[in-house]
Amino acid sequence: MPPRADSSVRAPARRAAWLWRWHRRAGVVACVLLLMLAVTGLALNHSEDLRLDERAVGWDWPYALYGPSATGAWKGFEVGDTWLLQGGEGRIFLGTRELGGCEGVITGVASVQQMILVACERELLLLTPDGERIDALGAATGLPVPVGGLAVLGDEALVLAGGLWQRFDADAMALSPAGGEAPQKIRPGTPPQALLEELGRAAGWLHWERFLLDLHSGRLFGSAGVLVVDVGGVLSLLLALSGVLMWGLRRRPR
Amino acid sequence: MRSRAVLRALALAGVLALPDGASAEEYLGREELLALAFPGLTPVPHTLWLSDALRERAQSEVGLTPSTLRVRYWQAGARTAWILEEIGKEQPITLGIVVDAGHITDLRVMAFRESRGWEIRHEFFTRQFAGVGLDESGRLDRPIDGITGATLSANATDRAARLALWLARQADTRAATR
Repeated sequence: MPPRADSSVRAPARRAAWLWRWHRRAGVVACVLLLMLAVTGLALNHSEDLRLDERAVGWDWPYALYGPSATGAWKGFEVGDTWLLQGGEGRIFLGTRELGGCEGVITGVASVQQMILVACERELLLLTPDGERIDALGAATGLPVPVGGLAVLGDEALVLAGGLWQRFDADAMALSPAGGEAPQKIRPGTPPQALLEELGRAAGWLHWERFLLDLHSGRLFGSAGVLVVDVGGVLSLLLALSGVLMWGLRRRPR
Repeated sequence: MRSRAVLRALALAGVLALPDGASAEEYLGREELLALAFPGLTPVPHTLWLSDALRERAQSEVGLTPSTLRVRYWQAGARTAWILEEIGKEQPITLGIVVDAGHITDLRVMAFRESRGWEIRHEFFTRQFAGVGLDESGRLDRPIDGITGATLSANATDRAARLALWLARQADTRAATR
């Protein structure tokens, strides 16, 4: 039977060896996660210098992870065989082609004399069928606001402007009182899911800063991603504690 | 308690310190502009269609391409009034520009939507454009002093002034060939 003093000397060494084994295992598991956190953290620290908040992510797969709902609510109106939509940021699109801004929320879209009339709360836009801007009428240029919607009566487009239905003259870009009964307002539709997904990518709304932030926190992969990053955090804590403990145990026999 | 009071005071000071141009502002309507541009007269509305060839010429002569395919303007005699929009930083600035015999007689900021740079609406800035024309290289023939903190808005005004002068020239040419 070995003397008692020997076993009391070996016990810390055994504990250190056990700790060392688990420290290595935890280190290997945490390694990938810590590398990712370090790289994304460094990049985010210099976000402004690297202009990460301006540069759109060029890959397709992150957009697929976010899904079309991430761009905010799209409001769309069917025009011929395509759609005219407005995203959460106020920009308008014909199909996937961006047409620029429109003042206020989009309230109606109608085809007028082979042109497209777009009504937003504070602006009327007249476009060619392929989305080129012919003319615009805003509050500063004589448009009664708010614009509540559009209707089509025969060949004429009617605009609900300043609370009254008015006839729209595309040549003069002017409105005149319509009178008569209130027409049926053109309602927004439900754009196809495939178009929304394509728009999500085409709109280039996902900037590197948001992408890296969501990768850093794990939110990019939903609640499972957050949990993985949490586990990485706990592992890092354990690695730090076990490292200090091992250092202490190794010093003790001397 | 004291720190809370200080925070409240700072928040209030922050709100009060916001410039009055922090939200979209409309300073002048179309009818008001026309009344200023043509006192006692009834101007005739016109439309200038900008063909691809004309847009290319605008780009080569004044370095600008109009954002729409047609521009509406009002005319009485040799005087024309133009309402143009030019992007400052992100939002369009609506400007009313009156041109007579190849020179600007009046320039007004009709609507401003940016959060910064609203100072360009003041007369000390806009009056610099009175009497300005285009030189041979398509630039304004007189230097315009900018405003610190409103550089982009001042640049947008400069571009709109050049475009209005160029458009007025096209309108004159069109009237002469009628």
